Amino acid sequence: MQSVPPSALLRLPPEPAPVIRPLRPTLPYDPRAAEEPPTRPSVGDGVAWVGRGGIRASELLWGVFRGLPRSLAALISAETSARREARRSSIEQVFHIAYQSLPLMLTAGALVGALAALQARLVAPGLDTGRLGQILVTLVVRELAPLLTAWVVAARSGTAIATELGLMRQRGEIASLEVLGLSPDALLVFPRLVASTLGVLVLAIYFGLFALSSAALVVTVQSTGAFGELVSGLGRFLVWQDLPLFVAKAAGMGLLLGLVTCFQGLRRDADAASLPRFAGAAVVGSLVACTALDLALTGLFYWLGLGGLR
Amino acid sequence: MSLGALPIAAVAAVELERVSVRRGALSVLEAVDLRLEPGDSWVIFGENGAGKSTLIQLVSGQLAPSAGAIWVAGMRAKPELPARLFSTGIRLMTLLEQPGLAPGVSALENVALPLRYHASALSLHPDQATGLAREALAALAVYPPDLHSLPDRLSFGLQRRVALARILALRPRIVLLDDPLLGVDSESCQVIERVLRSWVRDPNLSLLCTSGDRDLGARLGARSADLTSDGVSQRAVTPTRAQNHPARQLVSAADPGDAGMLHWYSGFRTPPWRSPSTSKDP
Repeated sequence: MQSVPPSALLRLPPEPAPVIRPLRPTLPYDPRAAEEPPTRPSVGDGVAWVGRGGIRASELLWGVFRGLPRSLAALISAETSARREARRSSIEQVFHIAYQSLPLMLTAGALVGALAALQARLVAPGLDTGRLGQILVTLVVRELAPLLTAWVVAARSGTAIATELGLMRQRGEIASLEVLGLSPDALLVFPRLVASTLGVLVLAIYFGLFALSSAALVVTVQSTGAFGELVSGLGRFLVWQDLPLFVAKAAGMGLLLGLVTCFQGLRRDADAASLPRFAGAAVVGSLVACTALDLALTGLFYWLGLGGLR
Repeated sequence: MSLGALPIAAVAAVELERVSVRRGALSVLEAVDLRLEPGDSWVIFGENGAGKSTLIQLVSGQLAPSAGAIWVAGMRAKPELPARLFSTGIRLMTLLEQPGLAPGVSALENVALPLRYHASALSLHPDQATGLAREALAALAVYPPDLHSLPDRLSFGLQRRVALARILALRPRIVLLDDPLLGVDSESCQVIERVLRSWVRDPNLSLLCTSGDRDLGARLGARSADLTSDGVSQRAVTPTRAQNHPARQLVSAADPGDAGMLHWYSGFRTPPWRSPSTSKDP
């Protein structure tokens, strides 16, 4: 038997000539893209851009606002025991969102009220204390209490809600709830909506009370006997329509921030890398939505002639 | 014999008609046909990347197919289907690749929560949920102190057992399992296989299990098939049960573990909390 020399075993077939295909530039910063002649934007491009933006915005709004009917429908169609679990979870969420934020809100309320009273006195030294009551009613009760409370809750609890729900989706918890016949809308979304709505409302009341109290304290320290004037001023300018306005603003903002943060947290297109971005978008979206709602309700309030400005 | 509200012969427990899944240019599944009859058990073997998890996600409604139709108990598969089916008595339960346990609560609470949630449909008092959860975990050999540990402190095998206990506690009628033995230790493998064998022997339960273990079907006594690029091809048919036999008659006396499991599971089918005087087992 003829032996094969080792060199023959190592002889490899000739390599084929490399095929070089021209690569199409795919990235916007690819230098080869610069070689292409720039195209002038046409009117059609602008229309398409506006159209795409409109579709994206409407999809976003639809995604945010359908959270409410979906969670309500899930709760109504759920069994009695499921509703009991949703109630239990709602109480837990109220504890997390409202109760745990209380010290922060009380401190913020006290500081804001004291600052408002101080600044008013500094800007207008001869300001009538009764008039200061009007400023406080307009500034604190109608605007700052609901708006600042919603902002603080959005920053503190909004990030927590969006991140928690996003992580739950990443870890497969949402999917495992669904495959066990548990509705995430009833068990996760609804309790957070309830808690954010109630939480902002209750915290705004505490914020307003502490802001007015600290303002009264500042006024009393500055001039004795001014406390009574301030209280009578507050009573004069505080109209009964302030109550529905306050409730509508605080509850509406709470609901809105709950819807926005739950939507961003439960996005199906979110992955581990994009989770912080969506959490940030949840907070920014909540702040913008709450401010827009505040503006709209304030405008409506004064347009209806309910402001009581004299 | 009926599967929940639907006549057993009328509809398949699970049916896939020419189902395809594409991700961009990649074809994950191509024109897959599958029919799981009520009370039947299938173990589908597939290599890595064959589409096992995709198949289970499709049937559980977590993934929409690119083409074709998926029916579970005569209804289109979608994410909210298990919740809708639960109220009709058809309990479709799925073990996904990730255990998906809530990280902030104990293993016991992870099993008790679904029981409390479905207490009305299960004719169960919510206070009984913890006791039943404890029993289900014991059937999966999860005992204290693991019972009260947070899921992150448990090994992956234990997490899988807890996830399986959640399904077991809810008394399922259709079970979908995505590679239940993937990445678990040998002890967990034995425990999980014991539960699977009891399910295979249960004539009231339909089981669709994917696995990377080619011999799992034979070990469980279930029908086996391969998931290949050509779709699902039946490998061998192993009759798993004599049709009209009560489940407990099928328990091998030589396997006390299985007997205990089936005893526990059979006891569930005659709800002890509804008729306390009824004995669970002779």
